[in-house]
Amino acid sequence: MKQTINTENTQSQMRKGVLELCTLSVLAIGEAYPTEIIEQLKSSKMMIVEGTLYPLLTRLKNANYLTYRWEESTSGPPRKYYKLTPEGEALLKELENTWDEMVDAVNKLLKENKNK
Amino acid sequence: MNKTLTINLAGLVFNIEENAYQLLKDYLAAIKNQFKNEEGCDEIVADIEARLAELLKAKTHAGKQVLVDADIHDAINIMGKPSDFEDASSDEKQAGSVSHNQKTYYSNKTRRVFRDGDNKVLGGVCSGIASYFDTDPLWIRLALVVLFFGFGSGLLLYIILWIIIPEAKTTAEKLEMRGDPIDINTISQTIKEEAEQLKNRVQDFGNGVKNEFTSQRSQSVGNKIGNLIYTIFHGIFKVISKIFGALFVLFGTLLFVALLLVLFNVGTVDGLSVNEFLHAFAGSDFPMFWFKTGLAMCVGIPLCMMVYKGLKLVLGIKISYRWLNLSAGVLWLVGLILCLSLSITLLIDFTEEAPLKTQIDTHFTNTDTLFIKGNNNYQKNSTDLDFGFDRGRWLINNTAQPSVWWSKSRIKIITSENDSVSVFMIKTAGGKQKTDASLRAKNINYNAAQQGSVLLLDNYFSFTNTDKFRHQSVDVLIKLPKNKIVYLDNTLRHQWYDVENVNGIGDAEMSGKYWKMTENGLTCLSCTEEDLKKGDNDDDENSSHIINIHDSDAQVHINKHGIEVKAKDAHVKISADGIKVEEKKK
Repeated sequence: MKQTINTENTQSQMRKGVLELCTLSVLAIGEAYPTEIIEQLKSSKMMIVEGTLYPLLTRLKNANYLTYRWEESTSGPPRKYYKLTPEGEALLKELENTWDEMVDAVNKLLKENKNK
Repeated sequence: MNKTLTINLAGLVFNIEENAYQLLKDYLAAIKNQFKNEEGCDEIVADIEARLAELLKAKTHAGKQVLVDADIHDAINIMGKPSDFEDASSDEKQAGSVSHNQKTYYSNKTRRVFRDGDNKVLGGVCSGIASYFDTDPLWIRLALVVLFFGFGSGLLLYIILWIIIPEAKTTAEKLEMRGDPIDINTISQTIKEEAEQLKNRVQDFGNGVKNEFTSQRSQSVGNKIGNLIYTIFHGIFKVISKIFGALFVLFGTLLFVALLLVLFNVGTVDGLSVNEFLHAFAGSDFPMFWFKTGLAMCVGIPLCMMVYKGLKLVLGIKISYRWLNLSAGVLWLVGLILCLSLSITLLIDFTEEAPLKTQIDTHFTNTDTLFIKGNNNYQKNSTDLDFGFDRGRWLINNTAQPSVWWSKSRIKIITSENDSVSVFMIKTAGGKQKTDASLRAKNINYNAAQQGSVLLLDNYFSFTNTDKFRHQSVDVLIKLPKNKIVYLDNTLRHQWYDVENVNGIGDAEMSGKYWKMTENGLTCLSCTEEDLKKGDNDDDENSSHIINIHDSDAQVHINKHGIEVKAKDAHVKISADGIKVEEKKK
């Protein structure tokens, strides 16, 4: 029981770190509102529920990595369109580098150990 | 037809069914709770509400204007449950163990017991209790399995718990299931919150009154006092109800186990095992199984309900099931009727009594002293049961088949109407009819015989348990002519029964002394001053010296209150009140 919870916890920690990178990456192309972001994440097989994204966006915005503007919608309440700030772009670059390094390192490690 | 509500969600108006509204409300409350420690909580919730509004808007069109359960469920599935948000929760929380995490997520929600349908084996009782106590369900399950081998009480407990604990269905309930453990802090928190609520209510009420009477100051003082008293009493009440609940559970369980032990023939009734006790009264034709079933229902159901109510109090479960109370009541009544009707069939066997009076063949001379002695006809085995019931002690020899019951006879001495000594033996037993009773009386073993100048009486009478206990007894009645001298032997010390004597000495103390039969009863011949004094003190108030006046029915009573002369046609009383003379007219 405890073992499985720990696994879940680790997985969620992994996903959490990556989700920020993915979100920033989606916004790097241009403005988007949450539903669009989610659709793109889902189409790339990033498994999340929508509810996860809202706190993430708010946190990134509060940390000055994102800004948003309101836009009226025909199908519901007004939408928040998010875009990267210069700080956000810098963060994205940094995270991308870290990600590449980490993936290389981890893959290398895993491969080495498997071949042993 | 369902009632609908109108709500405003992120600036859009929705018509929503009541159930669906509750669902949505619970969901939003859970989300709010999830992010409540986070900076920008309101913004997150507002964003989520806006998105929900958008999703729900898509569910309505001209042909369907009202939101139903299914719509909310769909929206929640898209948004995800608060438990799924854990992945993305704030950075401050990532450190620490999982249980710590869970606590912080669900904090400020008092924990309540629910059945955990997500981790169930049977009904989710164990996993629900486990999450209540922060343990692994395995241990709870193991404990129940162990209990199951103790008279199946584990199974019973499980079924009771299954019935009384509701399943966590809504998200809010699932949150409550894992909420803050109930301890002193959370209890005081709850008390504070509830006190606050009442305060508001009382203030509203107070304001209403204020508008009418405008007695501002006293009102607010009154409010404060009222709130204080309420807070104190409510707190005390809560704690007391928990304590009572715990006591209910404890004693209910103990008594229930005791009941089971009794029904399974463990334990004793005053030295007699339960089955022996029951079989002492009940014949082989008695439906013992049904009697026990009735007894189990009659006593067990109230105990079960006691445990049930106790658990509800302790765990703070407010749901009550009408059908449960109702069926428990009906079953109890059935048990009671079963028990009573069978008891009555037994009791009927006691209704008729048949005293069987026989004269013992004796030829005592009037001049010799009569010695009345006991014959110790019962030898106590170490295995014999000593059992206090009915009018005396019973000694039961259980090694014999059928068992033999022994008890002491009673001996009474009165004045004879004629000039000879006569001895009677009266055997009594109960039965449904006179014939049954006298047959049982006949089956009682008891012997009395003359041996020279000695009247030898068995100390004990006995009967075998084929007859069953039906109030059997043996009385010996000895009639002595006037001037007959008698010695009451110590071997019958505790069997003298209400023997009248002039000296007012207690029955047992009459033993070991010589007595002479006079017109007024036995008179002590060998009593010391001390004996007599003791006798007088024994029954101080009502003891009288009675003098019969020769050749008439008149009597003179002398006692503390004065002197009284009672005759056929006159009554004279000399006392502290004066002299009173009453004459009866012919």
